[in-house]
Amino acid sequence: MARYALRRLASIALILLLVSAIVFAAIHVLPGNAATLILGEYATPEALRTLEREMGLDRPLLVQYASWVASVVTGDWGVSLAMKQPVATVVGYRLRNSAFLALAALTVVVVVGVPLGTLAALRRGRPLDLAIVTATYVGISIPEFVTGLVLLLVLAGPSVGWFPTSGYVELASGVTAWARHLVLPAMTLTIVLLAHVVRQTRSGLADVLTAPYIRTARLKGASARRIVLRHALRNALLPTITVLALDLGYLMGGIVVVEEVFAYPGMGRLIIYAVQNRDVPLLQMCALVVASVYVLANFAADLAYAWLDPRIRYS
Amino acid sequence: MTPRISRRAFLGVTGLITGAAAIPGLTPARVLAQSEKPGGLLRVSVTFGLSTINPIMHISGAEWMATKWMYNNLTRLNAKREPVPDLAESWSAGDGARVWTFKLRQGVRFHHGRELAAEDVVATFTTLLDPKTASPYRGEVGPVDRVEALDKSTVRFTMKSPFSVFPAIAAVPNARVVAREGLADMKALASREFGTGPFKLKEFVPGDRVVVERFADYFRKGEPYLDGVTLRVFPDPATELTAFKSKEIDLISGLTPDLFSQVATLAGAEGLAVAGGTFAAVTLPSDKPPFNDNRVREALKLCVDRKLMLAAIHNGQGELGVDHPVSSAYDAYVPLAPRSADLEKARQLMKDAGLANGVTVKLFAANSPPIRERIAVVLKEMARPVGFNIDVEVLAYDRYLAQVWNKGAMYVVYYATRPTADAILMKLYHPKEGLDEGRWAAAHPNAIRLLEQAREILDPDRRRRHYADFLKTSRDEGPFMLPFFANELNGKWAYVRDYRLSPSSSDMVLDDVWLTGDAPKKKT
Repeated sequence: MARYALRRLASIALILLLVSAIVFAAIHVLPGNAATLILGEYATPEALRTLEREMGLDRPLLVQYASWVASVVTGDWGVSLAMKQPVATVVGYRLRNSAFLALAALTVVVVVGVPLGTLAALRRGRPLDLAIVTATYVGISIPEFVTGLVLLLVLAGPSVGWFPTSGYVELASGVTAWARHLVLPAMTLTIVLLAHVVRQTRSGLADVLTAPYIRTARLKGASARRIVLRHALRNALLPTITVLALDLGYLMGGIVVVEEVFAYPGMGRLIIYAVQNRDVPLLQMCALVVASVYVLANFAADLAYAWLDPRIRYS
Repeated sequence: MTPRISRRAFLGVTGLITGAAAIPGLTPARVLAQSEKPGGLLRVSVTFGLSTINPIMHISGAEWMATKWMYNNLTRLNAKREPVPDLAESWSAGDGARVWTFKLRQGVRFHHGRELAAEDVVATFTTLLDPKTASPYRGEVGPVDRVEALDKSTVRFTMKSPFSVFPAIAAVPNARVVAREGLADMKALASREFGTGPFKLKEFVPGDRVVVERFADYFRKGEPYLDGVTLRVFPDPATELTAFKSKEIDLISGLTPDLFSQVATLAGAEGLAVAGGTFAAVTLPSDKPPFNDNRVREALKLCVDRKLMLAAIHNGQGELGVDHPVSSAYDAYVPLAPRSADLEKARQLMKDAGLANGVTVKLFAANSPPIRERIAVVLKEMARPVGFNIDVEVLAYDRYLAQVWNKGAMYVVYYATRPTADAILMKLYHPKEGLDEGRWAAAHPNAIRLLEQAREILDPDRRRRHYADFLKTSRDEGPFMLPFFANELNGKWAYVRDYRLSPSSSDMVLDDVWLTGDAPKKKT
């Protein structure tokens, strides 16, 4: 097991290096650089050259990349070209905000999604199943900016006004205020993500329920509750964990639209900002962080597999 | 903050009300409101741009607003766009506007405690003008050669050539006066402030918000009235409008015309519109065919029904233009006969130019702000009947900057109101002080000389006559099709008082803005 984990970690490091190289190459395919965007439509050729020199953008690309890798390895994330602030500070703040939102959304998705999927599987083909499946499908098919705006207009508009429309407040200014700001974006994300988990749980459980060992359990007189919770669900949930691990990665960097609608300062908007401003050090670190979340979440999912299913052994 | 009312104050106010009831036209509510001035938090929204709060380097309207609250300039512009004292209490010109001497106010304190001295002004301008700083607006500050402190409170600027509008230029956002210890670390200045302004920095999250709080030692005694201001970025206008309706936002800056009409019709809200100098215009590169022939430039200008274009693009909120960048917001403004569409004449001009069969041109428009794309698309339709086949290419702003802008192509420029007519004219037309974006200067040296002479003239009337000659040439032969100036549009709730929208809307002075008692008491 330990050897397996070590091998996986080594491959994760390789993946991250590849991701950083690809992102670095990709942003340099785009025209312009941070200096052109800092100076905008007032740039003189002289000012452009000065800034490019100051930010080291006049060096050969390979040298720029190598020096970036060298400093990241020593723990120095560099300074954002557009904001002039340490990348670690900027990314750290956004990462924490995204983590709060992701955690809130994922918790609701699990707490609501797994029971709904179970219910749908147990009532397969009946009206309740149909209702659950249809509702979650509607949720995933409507674009998230529509869902977000509808929730915003209804629940944060002047007539109801239960929640703030947007933004983020620090935990320090009160847990209630902090949580109230998370509700609408988390709710939007839940509606979008619920279908994955409900569908996966439903089909997984439906499969397992027809398995011979469930029939055996039923024949030995186990109660229906015990069969579902103790025997079936434990096996049926394995693929669901993979789905959740992928969702986590998406929540930590892919939710640009929801962050824009709710003016939420998370990783998604930061990545767009970094691309638009050609802020290479900032973009590189954002990409690394999001990629790390993906690979580590999947790694954790694989470890959880082994823990949930004693038949799985990594070596 | 809830206002604390002492018994004495209460009696005073009630006495005033009873007394005031006898005076016609002075309602009790008004008297009461006046007494409520201090306190409260103002929440302002913008839709983009908040990367840095370094005044020397910032370029977006939102950043200019934030630094206006934390810093002061030597001068500021009043409603008539004339320079009035800010940190400088007086100034005088010498040697035919070649030397400008500014006398600083006494007893002005920086937020970190120290008193303002002439050396701070010298350090600010030295940094701003240093080519190594690469400040985006360095060219706008004028032909400054030397800056010296004559004593603790006197600064002398020596120009390379006479520069009559320097006191107005001193109000430009990039010339905010920064304490010299702050200038030592330009990186830190991106997220810290060293100002003298009415508010001091409390929190800055790049791309998201700036929070400032009242500076008790502000040199305008008793001001500001507000306890603090929050500036928030809303990437989505629908969210911004909902936040405004729910009174999470008190003041929306930079409204689109659509949002403006929605805000203006809300009960208790007000839409503010003011004529400014903001415009979008199409460059007609005059150094190569087809626009090197003035008949073709004139033909294109004659295609445009400006009134219709303004109605279609900015909801009629603006001032019609005649193909030069000086609106009525500038003191150099000269009313010229308006242009109306004349397709017959335009066709004849095309025939004379040998283009009876039409011509195909490519027009680039960046996707931000949206007005650029709209102008391009409407122009394409209006010019089609005359034989212009305009191929519009809309591209992302970052690509536009890198590949199209200032490369001699036909594209849509967009400029916000500048402090003086000189600033925008030099920027657009002059080959050295500016960028000659229409590639027009080489063939029109006399016109360019007019610009150079005008900035040297101290007498406003004589200066205006010079500009009048230039503007006429620019209208009749110039390299820009400039259809209209867009009004600055803001929206606010009625409980925000004494806010005056400036013709350059990011010049947001909040020193004497206050909230009435019915403003929401929420903190965020």
